[in-house]
Amino acid sequence: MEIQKQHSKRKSENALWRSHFFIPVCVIALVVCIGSLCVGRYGIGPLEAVKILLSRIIPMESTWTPTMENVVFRIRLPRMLVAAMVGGALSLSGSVYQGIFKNPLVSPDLLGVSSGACVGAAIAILLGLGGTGIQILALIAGLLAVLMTTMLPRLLKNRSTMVLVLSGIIVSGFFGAVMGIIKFVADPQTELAEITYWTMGSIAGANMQDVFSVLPAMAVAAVILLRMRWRVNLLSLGDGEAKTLGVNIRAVRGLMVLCSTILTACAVCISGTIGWVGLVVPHLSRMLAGPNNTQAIPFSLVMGAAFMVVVDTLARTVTVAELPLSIVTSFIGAPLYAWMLTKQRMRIK
Amino acid sequence: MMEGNIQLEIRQGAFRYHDGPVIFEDVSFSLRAGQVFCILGPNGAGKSTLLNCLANLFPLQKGEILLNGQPMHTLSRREVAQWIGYVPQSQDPTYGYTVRDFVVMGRAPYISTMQLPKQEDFEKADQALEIMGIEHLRDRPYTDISGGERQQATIARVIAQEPKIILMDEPTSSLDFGNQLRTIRMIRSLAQRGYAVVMTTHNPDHAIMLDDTVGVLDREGRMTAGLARQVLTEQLLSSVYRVDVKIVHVDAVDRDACLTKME
Repeated sequence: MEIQKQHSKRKSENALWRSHFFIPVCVIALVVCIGSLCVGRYGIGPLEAVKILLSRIIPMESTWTPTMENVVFRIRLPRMLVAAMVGGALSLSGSVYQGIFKNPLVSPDLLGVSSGACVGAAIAILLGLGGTGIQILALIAGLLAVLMTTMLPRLLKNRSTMVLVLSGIIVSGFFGAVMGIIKFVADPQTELAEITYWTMGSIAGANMQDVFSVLPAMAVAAVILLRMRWRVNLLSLGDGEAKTLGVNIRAVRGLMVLCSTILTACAVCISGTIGWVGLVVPHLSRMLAGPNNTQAIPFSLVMGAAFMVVVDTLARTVTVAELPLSIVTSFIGAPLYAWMLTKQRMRIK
Repeated sequence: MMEGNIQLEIRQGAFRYHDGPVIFEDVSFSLRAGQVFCILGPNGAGKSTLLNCLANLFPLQKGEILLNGQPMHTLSRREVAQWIGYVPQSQDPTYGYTVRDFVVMGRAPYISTMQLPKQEDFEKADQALEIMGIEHLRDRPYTDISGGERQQATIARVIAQEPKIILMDEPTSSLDFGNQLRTIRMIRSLAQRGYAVVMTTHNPDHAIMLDDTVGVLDREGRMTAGLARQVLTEQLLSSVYRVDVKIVHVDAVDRDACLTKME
């Protein structure tokens, strides 16, 4: 009895359900995901949607039309999955970047990673490379961008929050210019359209192939980051303290930056650049789960996925025409961020 | 007290930044379990730099540091962190982790890269909070507590780290008079618990109060090391600090004190 009690205590110390919000957040995420399968021009009941999904695993009598099944499997499910993956990836990498750079003002887009990855993808399209080529170039350019961004504060020997943010703006600006050149030289008939599609941030044409093309890389990076999430706390103390606690800074931070950049680059590959998610959701997760990354990082992942599914569902249902995702994330994200800043009374140095 | 093993030894240590001037050279001393070593010296003499070298943050230019007889540069960061705990002078926390979450970070050298702290790590953190008498701060955000409390929390983190040696960079700076004295008492009790403690300080009185070993760095970066009661003379302190220092026995507190006359 005593041993059992101790054992359960041992497990519960880090357990996510110790935070009152984790189960509700997961339930909401699930409801949102199922809901997104139901809404649209062709309405489907929630029960029907669940049954259609389950029918692929458990054989059951069909109470729905083939059109419904088509809509769910061909259109809405891949879109929902892509949205969830993109939202989860950007939020997870945003949380990690904020922790390891000791800076609650950074995110994949503010560090220039997104615009870097976008340039990489555009170059790959210009070179006529396929899906894997686009992913690899997006990753390399994303890594290059984050290296450039973190270099400037080091050169200035100024590690303040503001210099890193400024550096991100500079690098984003630079990659924005490169993007402009690429668009300028691209063939307006074919390549330009494809490249513009990336920069707009849309997942309208998402299919299962998109999901599977980035899923392996995303899953590996996400699992590594989730397993290392306690180390984010250590790195957020600053280099000196982390070193005296025995952390091999270069290896640990390098691996984390690599994994976060893989997540961002993969998200860019299937959806283009989508702003705000990677900044707002990590803040929201810290508000709910507290600053400890053992809790906050899984929250960020789940909430980011749910947030993006909501955004995408709104983008395709609010108006007759599709809204670009970035417009919706900015519309929701910017006021939300302003509200959170006043709420947290954040001190920025 | 003197029979413990030599925990930390520095032999002919020298340091300079890239092409800059020599910060210190030919520094040698050793430390046993239960001993306190105070590093004294004027501003800019390199006290903190020396401490950072001992903490494995800066590499020595010349000479070597031995941990329990092993050269430090042959050990990994994790191994060094199991021997040496470091209390920095000031911290600039970004995120308001609870004090308990902060203290449990001291367990990092024993937790593999892909693992979270376990129940026993939290138990060690709770014990450390108890030793420091700050259980009441357990769930407070680390960003919201006072400087003195933050220092106590950091020492609790070092206790949770279970090192043999504790390094403290100016532990009494930025504390009020009462807290300075409490910190000095606490350092003595850490030594009585068997830790070897190295600290830097601006106040020679602190070295006199601790009445153990001391090393005085002068402006040329040379160190005079030995027992505090032998090394700390009026002559040495006057020349190092460039003021006329008198060491007077004060009967009311039954110890020597460093004083100077106002002109």
